[in-house]
Amino acid sequence: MRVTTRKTLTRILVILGLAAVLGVGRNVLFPGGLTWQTAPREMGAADTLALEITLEQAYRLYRQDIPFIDARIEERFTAGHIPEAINIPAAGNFQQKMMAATELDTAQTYVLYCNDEHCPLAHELYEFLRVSGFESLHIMFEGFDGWEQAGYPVSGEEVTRGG
Amino acid sequence: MAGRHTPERDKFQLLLSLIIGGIFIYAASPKILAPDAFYLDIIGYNLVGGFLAKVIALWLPWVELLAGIGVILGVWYLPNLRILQWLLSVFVVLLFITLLRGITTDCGCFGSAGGRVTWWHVFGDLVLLLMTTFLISWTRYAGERRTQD
Repeated sequence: MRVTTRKTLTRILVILGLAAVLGVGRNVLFPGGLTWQTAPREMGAADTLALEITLEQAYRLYRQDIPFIDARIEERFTAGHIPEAINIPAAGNFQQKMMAATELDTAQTYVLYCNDEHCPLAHELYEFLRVSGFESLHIMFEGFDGWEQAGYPVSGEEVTRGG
Repeated sequence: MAGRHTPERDKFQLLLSLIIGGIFIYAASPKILAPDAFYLDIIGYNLVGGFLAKVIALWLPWVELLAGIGVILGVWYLPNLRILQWLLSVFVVLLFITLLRGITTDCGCFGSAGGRVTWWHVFGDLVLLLMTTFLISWTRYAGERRTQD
């Protein structure tokens, strides 16, 4: 290998390494960084690897046509849901959930949601889907109520629903 | 002003370097300020997820920034140009595949200012790739000529 080529490659590696150090440093030292593991809010299960996302982040994914999964019961879903969302009731029986899950692409990214931050169904469904092999899941912890109150698009039989 | 590792650059080379370096600095800044938004842009491509997407979201903008600054200042000029050439090649292939797959997603090229992925993005990156490749060839040719002289 020529000396100049080796020198160029060495310098490229130095630049790439420096970028990695700066990236990690920025993430640790300044606000707005990424979290590597997030425990669900007000939930006991701290071993989840789900990335909880805010309403704004969820809406950004919505605009990118990332599919949403509504973990609530069918009646709530029918009354109002995020447009194009898929309903997989976390409280449903195992066979129903399995059937619904097998129709989905496990490599696709999905955003799960429940009613609000106190509702555990999105986290329960998350656990089920993770075990079923889904690779990229997010939980919108403010739920459908937060989504609706923020003025983002909704569909369903009722515009405002009871909790 | 030529630094220790700076090759001699004529005005045209300098102009191209300023354009390419400036674009990459401009592209890197919003991603560094909001890595979570860039992470979601990466997720939107539906090619990588989870851990790898986070690594890219934290690392790539700094590569763009450092290489952009290096190209403008002429510090480690050729290595920085090589990095930009590789990045642009990856971007062109990525955007091309995304459009062929029919995925509608935000480009993530300049933070939220990038808009949805279109063929114009592929074209723009191809132009930048050509400019970068030209600068690399020119710099190497000039270097070899100086060695012969």
